[in-house]
Amino acid sequence: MKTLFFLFIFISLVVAVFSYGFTDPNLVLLKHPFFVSIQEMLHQLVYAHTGTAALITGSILITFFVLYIGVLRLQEKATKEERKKFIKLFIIIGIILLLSYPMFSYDVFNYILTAKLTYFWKENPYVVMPIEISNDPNLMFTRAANKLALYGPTWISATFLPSLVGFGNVWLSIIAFKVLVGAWYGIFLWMIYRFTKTLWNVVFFALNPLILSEVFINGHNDILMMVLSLGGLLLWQNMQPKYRYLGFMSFVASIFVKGASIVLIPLFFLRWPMDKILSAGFWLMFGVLLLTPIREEMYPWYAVWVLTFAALIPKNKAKFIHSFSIVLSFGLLMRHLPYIVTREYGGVGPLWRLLLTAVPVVVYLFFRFLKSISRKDM
Amino acid sequence: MKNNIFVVIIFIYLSFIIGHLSLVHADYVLPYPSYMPGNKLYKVSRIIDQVKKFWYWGSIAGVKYHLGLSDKYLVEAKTLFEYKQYLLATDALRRSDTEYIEIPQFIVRAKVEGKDITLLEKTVKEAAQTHIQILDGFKQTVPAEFTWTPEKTTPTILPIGNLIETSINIRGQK
Repeated sequence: MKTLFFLFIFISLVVAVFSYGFTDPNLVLLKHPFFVSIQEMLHQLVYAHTGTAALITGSILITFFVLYIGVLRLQEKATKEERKKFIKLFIIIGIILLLSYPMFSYDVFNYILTAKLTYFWKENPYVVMPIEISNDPNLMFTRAANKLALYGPTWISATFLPSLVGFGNVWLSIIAFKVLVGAWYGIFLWMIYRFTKTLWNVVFFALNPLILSEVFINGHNDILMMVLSLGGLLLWQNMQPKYRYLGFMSFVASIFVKGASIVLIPLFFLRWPMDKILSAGFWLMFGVLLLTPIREEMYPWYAVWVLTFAALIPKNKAKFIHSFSIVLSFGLLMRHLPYIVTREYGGVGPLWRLLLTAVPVVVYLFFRFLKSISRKDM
Repeated sequence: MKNNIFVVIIFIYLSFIIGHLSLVHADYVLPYPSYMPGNKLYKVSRIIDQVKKFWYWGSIAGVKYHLGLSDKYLVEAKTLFEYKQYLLATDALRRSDTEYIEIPQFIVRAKVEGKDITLLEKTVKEAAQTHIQILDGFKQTVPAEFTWTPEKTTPTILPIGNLIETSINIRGQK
């Protein structure tokens, strides 16, 4: 177990360093000569040798998954002392990855600029687009600046504190925004343990490479939406009037983060056992995930929607959901690779993204099908 | 022969470029007419117009809010003039002017706040040109003066021509 822990931390460190090769060419994070020389070297690797960069990234992600499955399998055999060390592991990995550059997505820059538009420029982000203030230096490295605020008021309000902490310094802002989502990750780990009382469920979520990537590396806000909606659902199902009210408020707040959680409304009217409600929630969110290409694309961070549900279902109650979630998160995380190779979203990218996601899932389903047939024959 | 082919290729290329440029350029577009006086929802829409003011906080948003309302009331005036509802039309035109007059102070405020709003200023200028075109059109179709005779009260002379001139002047100011 110790070796696995060490390897997990080591790979996280590699990711944290390697991620700075993905820094936007227009963005200067630190001017210290040591940092600049390392960054330039990594920059050269990522931007000039795109195939090698993708190979390294792919290898890192696969290693992460191998270690994840290893830890997940071995954690049940762990001693009491070793189990206590898991919390330390979560914190150490969280801190290391928090310091990484958002290598797979530009969304955190959009969050930062939207917060700046609201709290610094004092404009309504639902009426004014960031690009309308053409002298804002953040426009140099922010994408989707020609859109009105993409997220709801709950998210905009939540970004007040990190925008205050990080003003004037892009690197500090990135860290502050990631601390915000990291805090919600921490709250969710507590929720999982409180609800399931098993370490397995906590590890299943906490060390999933897609979760680590989308929370600590890319700093996506989906975790906030899911914690509020699932917290709301659990409180609502608690049946006590005061908790139900709180649960309802929490759920409404979740809808005003991103809106996807609105499909969970039917779960509030079900009187099923909780694990069945959670399974239904998993499939509802999976349905939304499948529909996302109609709007834009099936982004890897949307898997947070389904993984949060899977993490709350007891291990022996939904084995398929758990194993399917792991394969799905692997397939979705691989979607980052084509862009690293081609540096464009179009071209052959969409086909590769589809293959990288679909092939692992289809192969998994095929083997599962074969297994079920062989069981019937016996 | 080769030269001719070369000239034709250049011509086709340039026609694409020039055609493309002309396609890219879009004139300022005014909105469709909203609810008109007499409609049950007209008063509601006017109340919403006022309430929206609180939603459009910020200097850039302020420009957008007042320009949007100025557009809306100008279109309302245009429609009412076409239906010869001169009293209502002049009222809408006055409201459009009132909203337009508000715009410069928000532009100044945005500049004081350090915001580079070159694109927005360009939009406002384009809007002013479009407004003036519409107002010029009124001059051809609308009488310079109209005596409005309501039931039971004394007639009122509506100086429509002067009002239109005033509106053009407001939009022509730099």
